[in-house]
Amino acid sequence: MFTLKYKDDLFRFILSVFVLSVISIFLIAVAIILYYSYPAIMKYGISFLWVKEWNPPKEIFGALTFIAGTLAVTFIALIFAIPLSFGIGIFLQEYCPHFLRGIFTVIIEILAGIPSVIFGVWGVLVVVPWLRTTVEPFFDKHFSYIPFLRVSENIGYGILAASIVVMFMILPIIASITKDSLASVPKIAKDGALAMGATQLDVIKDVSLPYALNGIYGGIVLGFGRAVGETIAVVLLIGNQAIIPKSLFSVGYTISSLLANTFTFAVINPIYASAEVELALILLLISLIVNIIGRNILDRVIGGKFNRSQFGGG
Amino acid sequence: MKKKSGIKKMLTGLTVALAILALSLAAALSSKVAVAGTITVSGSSMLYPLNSVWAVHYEKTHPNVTVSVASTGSGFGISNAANGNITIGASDAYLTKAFKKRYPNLINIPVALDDAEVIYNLPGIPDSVHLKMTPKLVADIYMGKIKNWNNPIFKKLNPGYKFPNMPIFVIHRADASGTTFDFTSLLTDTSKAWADNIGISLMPDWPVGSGYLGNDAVVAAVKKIPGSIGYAGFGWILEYHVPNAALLNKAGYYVVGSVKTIAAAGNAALSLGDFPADFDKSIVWNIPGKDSYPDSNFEFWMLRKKQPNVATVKSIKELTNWVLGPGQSKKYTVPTGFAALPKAVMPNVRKLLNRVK
Repeated sequence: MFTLKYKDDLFRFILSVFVLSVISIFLIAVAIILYYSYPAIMKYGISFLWVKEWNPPKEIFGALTFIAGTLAVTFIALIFAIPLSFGIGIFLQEYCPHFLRGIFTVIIEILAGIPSVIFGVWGVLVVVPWLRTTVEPFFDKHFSYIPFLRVSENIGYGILAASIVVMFMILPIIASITKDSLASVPKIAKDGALAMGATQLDVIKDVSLPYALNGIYGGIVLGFGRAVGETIAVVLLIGNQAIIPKSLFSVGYTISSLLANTFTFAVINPIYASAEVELALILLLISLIVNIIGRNILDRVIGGKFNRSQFGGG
Repeated sequence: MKKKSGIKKMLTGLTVALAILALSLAAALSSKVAVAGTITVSGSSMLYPLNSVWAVHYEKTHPNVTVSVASTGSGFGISNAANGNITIGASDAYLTKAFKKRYPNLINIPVALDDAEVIYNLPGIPDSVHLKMTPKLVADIYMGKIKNWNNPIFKKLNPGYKFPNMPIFVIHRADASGTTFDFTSLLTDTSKAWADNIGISLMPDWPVGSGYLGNDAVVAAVKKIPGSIGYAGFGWILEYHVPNAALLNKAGYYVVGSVKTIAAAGNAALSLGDFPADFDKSIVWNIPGKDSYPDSNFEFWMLRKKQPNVATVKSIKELTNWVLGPGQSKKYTVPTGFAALPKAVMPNVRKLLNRVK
């Protein structure tokens, strides 16, 4: 009896060590990022956030160009992704024949798990040539008077190419959460509306969507969290030029792609490395906050259902 | 009973896992001792192909030595050679004053010659033609001052060819690059505006264009985008047959980069007599000779002056002397896109090598 109890406690202890190790790895990672960014935070202060120049030889470091590029790619990707994912989510939940729903849902989940470099490769092979030979000449011809649609460099690479590819990466997240949110609408509310003579479109518009809206917000926020840190697909497509993009077709630079391109070199100068780590800290904070907000919304709205569908738990 | 045996199994599993972990940790720790016969060469992606060829052939004649080679970028090579993570750092750039100040324990040993060449993609110009360009013109293009191929200066330098009305797309590197260092050295020497605003750098603050990761990506972008201009090392041009420009040199001749013209530039630079003894200078504009290519560059190995023990010093010197001797043979250097070091530098290089103790 004693030995059994003893083993049980030991086992519990070992398991707790494993769990604690995950937490401590996370805390250590955060601590290291804070430690290494500290010199830059002290030297450049809060103005780091709005200084445009990034000049390693002169040790002038400002994050604005990269924050602007990161947000540009993220928001444009969201603008493309939101309507598409809404359509997919509504179709899957409300219109899709039952025997197809499972297949489509699995395909969307697979899409969410494809390594991002594959999307990047597809972007270089398909999206960039398409933009260069078809889309950019078209916009150059017909819309060059609109500043943010001006084609400054007809090379295919740039903010738009990166945004299109990131859109495909966040599409499955938003679509599946939209579907789950719609599924959480009480059947009785929908049946009531139908009984009163509402069409299916009316029910979706006036009952399901308003009810599911908070959950869908949560999905959008999580999509934002994924898009903001996407690295490899963006690095391949954005053009890697440190300018603040003024047009959809402009080249640019994001925080993650700058780090991917230059961090192995930045270690050569401690303050340079520190400035890049501070960029990483900014990215970490953005995605942490966004993820916490997104998960909170989803927990509140769909609760256990969300957890089941996202983590495969019971 | 069933539950108990389950726990027992798990515990046994855990014990085994922990044991494996402990063993591998011990192995990792002890491997520090075991690698005495291993020399790690890491850094420049440009020099990587040549380092690899050298490693393979050196290991053949020195079976007790392992030379492990990696391509991690010149910046990584310099900083990790300085802190002792690797034995030898490979770099396309010499130790500048700033580097020397930060890493006073390093010396740079030249091991080969290469260059940076201007490449372009211009419809209507046959691939076999090397368009003539002056370094100053290239600087103006890379500063966004000359934006279209129909600029009369192209016609003036290259009479007989038709230049289209087509924007120039500037292609540059996104990462820290020794090729960029060499390229910006030439622009700095020949354009005051470039020198004042941008200067020599592994990774300058590019005024215009778009950036790509690595020499290969720059070559690919130039090949894909009509109207583009870029720059790449000789080896890449050799391999991918992308049109390259003939650059004006100081003697007034337009020269295309090749093993012959790079070596000519190296010899001419050394014949001036004022070439620094520790090789901290690019071989760009200010060199005489009608065959001298105006944008050549030494490739370097970074070595720590103070090594941990006599055995390491011996193995480093043996390898480096081999590289400076048999390693300079055409069968290693030319196929990988490099020129051998001029004979005249050897006494100086060996003197440098003696500072490793």
